[in-house]
Amino acid sequence: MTERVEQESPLSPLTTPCAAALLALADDELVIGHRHSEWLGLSPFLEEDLTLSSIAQDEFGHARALYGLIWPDWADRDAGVTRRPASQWRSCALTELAGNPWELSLVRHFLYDLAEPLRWTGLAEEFGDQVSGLTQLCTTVIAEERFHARHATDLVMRLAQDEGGRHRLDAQFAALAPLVSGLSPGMTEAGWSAYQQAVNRVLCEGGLPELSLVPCLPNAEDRTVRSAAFASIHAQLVEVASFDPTATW
Amino acid sequence: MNDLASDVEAAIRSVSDPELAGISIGDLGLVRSVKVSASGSAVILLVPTFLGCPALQVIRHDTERAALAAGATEVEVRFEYGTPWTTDAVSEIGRQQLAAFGIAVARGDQCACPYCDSTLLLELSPVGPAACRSSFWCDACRNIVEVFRDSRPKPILLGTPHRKMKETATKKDLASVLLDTHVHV
Repeated sequence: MTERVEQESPLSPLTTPCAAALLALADDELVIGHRHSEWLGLSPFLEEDLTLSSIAQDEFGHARALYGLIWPDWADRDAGVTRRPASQWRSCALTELAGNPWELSLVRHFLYDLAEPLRWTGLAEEFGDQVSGLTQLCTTVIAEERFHARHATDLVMRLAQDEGGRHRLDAQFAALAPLVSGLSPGMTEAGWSAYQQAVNRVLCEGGLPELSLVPCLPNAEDRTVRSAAFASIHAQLVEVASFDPTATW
Repeated sequence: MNDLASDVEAAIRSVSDPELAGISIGDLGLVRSVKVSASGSAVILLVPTFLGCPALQVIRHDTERAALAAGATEVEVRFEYGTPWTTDAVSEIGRQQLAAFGIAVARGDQCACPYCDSTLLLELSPVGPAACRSSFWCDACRNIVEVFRDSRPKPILLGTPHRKMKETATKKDLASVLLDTHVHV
């Protein structure tokens, strides 16, 4: 871990490139997990209810492990989620977007989870020698992520077999494609190229129009703007802790 | 190993998993290493079944308490991620206890129903009531069976009924192919 990261207070903005990248990915993981979890009990069929809630749980676990690299103390980790001001979050707009209708959540799940292993790999390659445990964590995360990508791909392929399903998917792919450029921290040029190929091979296989994704590899430190959708998530994240700021768990 | 070190290790290995009452974290294969210094300071490495396991804080807390009760002077519990947990780490006793709990643990590509010992298991869902368990249907005794899962690509169980075997074996697993092609750490 860089010296600067260790000196930061748990709730202050983390500004080194390394810390900013870790925080951006951690916040993406937590926020998309939060959005997935909103389907608990509401998914269109029971198996999906079970599966999406387990995937949400995995993403929370990945976020928790990353927060652990930033804030080693478990209490700081909790405070980093439940007491951090909205202005200090670094999630991207794709993860923050409200997840209704269900096909929006499915397309987001697909676009996010095909990118995720590439982003972890990029982060581990760039910062693995600075952050103790990051490379090891990346190995475990990628093993768990195989299931996420397979699940999203299987469902996209299944829905694409039906004309109505294809139309609904197509509309969501078109709407969400511009937001994919926000999946930046950890994404290298090679990763980006692999990602586009992976996405479009599935779309091609499913008879869906290929996407022209705009490559965007901005610095994670630039992620200072939250989308309008984030306010409702943040309100939920801090709600319980705000009842009694002095409470310990 | 001195007496204190063996006492601490035994105490830790017998800590009960919070979600599987009566089954120890030692038998589940969650204890990677235990080091106790001459002064009684203990460093314990655990591995989670899945990173999103909601019981990690409770396991950490119970492990600390068990080590202190066994005589450790100070305790540090860390979770280790480099080598993911697999069901191979579950002990024989753990397998028997899990079976009594209604949870099967595969051996390679073989898995038996914990109720009737049949291998005619049909997958219902890759994830079940917890992220670390899949849901299967036993075609012999007609019970729902939970099967412990890990993050490795899932094997096709040898005893799986023919209709599912055929479907699974021919299914195109595009994402796995793509990711295995492009992702290396």
